[in-house]
Amino acid sequence: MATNQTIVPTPMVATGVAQESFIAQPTQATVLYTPSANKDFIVIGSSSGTVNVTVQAVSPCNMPLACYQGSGAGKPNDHGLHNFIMTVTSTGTYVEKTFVIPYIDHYVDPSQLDVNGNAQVALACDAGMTTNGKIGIFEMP
Amino acid sequence: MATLTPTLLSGAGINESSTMVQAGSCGDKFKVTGNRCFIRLSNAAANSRTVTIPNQQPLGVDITVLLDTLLNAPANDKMIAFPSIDAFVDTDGYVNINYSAVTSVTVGVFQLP
Repeated sequence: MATNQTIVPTPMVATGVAQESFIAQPTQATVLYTPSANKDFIVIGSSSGTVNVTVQAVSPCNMPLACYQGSGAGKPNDHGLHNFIMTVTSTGTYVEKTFVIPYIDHYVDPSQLDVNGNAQVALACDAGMTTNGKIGIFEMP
Repeated sequence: MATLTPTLLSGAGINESSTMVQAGSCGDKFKVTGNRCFIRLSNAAANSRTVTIPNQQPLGVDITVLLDTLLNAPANDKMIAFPSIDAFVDTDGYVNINYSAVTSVTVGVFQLP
């Protein structure tokens, strides 16, 4: 049984992308995707309560302030580095937010390779995400 | 023609829908500050709408997008990106957006850092 879900970023095109068609509830607690040089953005939705998606930093960041952004309490992870956390809160109606992960290079995990051998980013979804959340990943041309 | 200000996406997260505005009755335009921007369009009307982004190059092909008639916006929102935005920039530095009708149409422009 797979423990990770791989999402291939949806290419943005001039003919228009129906965004909601590519945003869905994660099937696994960990979502993997292959980033492409600062061209990706992530849409996270919540239909109830607060949902969190944590991106674990795997290499030191030379700009600590940026790494702290969105990192909750700012506590370092097991690597002594600061994770990046994307949070969306719904108070009853469905809410969506669009995120760009800053300094994405610091979150690319060389131990998580895609079928082409490219390192991926691991997105850890909390229980709220897997019950009330949605996620979509998009890639600019 | 109304001027739209692109919203910069960030790590803090943006609720795109909350930044979208009513489409301008004479169309909209926005200043290009980079190649990584996209337009989001929503149609809550009972009729479909056609949105055209004119290509400013000789013999260039316009971008034409049909916004469906579904009434469950934002489920039928469409996002438009530009493979090469330069072709759509007019002599004043703006990308223009024209609508077949504007009732119940909202629009937003978003910029990646």
